[in-house]
Amino acid sequence: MSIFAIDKFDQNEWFVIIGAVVTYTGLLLLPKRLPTSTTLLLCIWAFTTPKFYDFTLGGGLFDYYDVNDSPRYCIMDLVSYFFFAPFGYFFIYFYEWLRARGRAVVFYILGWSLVAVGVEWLMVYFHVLTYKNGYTIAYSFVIYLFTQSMTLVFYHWLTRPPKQASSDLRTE
Amino acid sequence: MGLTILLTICWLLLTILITYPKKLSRRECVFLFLVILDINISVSWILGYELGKIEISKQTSTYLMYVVYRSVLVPLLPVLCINLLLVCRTFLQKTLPVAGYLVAVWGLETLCIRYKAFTFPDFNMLKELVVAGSYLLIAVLLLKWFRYAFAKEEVGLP
Repeated sequence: MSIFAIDKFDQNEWFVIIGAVVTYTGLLLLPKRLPTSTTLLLCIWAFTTPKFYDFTLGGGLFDYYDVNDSPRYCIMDLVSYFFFAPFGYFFIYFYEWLRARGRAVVFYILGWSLVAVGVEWLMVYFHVLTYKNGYTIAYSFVIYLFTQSMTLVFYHWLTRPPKQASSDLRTE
Repeated sequence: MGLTILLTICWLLLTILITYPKKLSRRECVFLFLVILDINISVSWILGYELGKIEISKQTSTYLMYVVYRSVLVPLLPVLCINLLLVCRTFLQKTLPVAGYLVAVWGLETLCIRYKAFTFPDFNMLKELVVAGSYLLIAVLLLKWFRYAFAKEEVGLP
């Protein structure tokens, strides 16, 4: 079977497609709060991190789970990363909207990790994810805690003003 | 030992990128790094696991070597190379970072093969250098697009 081909078009494909439509509609409908390049970079960040996990923990040597119908790389895997991408924007969007700072950040990350676990539970239910080799959703919770903390670090690093403005070279 | 060497090289390159003066902004560096990482994850998976052209290690330490090479070094090298390209003014000067980039890719791949992080049952170094060259070309085009798309709207952002 060729690369990217879908084995069987059923509930997992529909979940990913409908999920992508819903998240991108949300992305377009929310009032603009962040610069466009920040939005783009947050979406690319949220596209890349699950892809990194899927191709490192989900596949390869560890092989803890399959995405969609098989361990093969199919076009719906790519669509599922597009489905994840707006979540990076939503995460920072509500962080700014709620002005979560100080201790509130702990609860904000915990809350979002629970939301992420809920979405993942739905993905397991609709067979977008199939766990293998002893993997459970509890491991994902820890991964979400780490990833969302890193997303906040990434966002603050990205938006921090440069320390020094040279006339020619940028020294950040 | 291989993993230690590779992690040290990673640390060195990241330190150079962070501390040295550069022509790329933080946003441009991140954009190029993440997009090339995305492309490289797909390419290495397709070549390794779908087509079987690259045999990837099944031992943890050497597998981690492959992961570090795939996920950090491959996307980082074009970003560093473009930073140098933007500093160079003449065509002759610009050939040096490109040559250095290809030599670095060749050296790192040789290191990974030496420690059996991956091997090439149906692939070779020349093809790998073509892939690496393509990444550099893609990075240049991406940078042009990024600057074109955001230059007017967001001047002064880090």
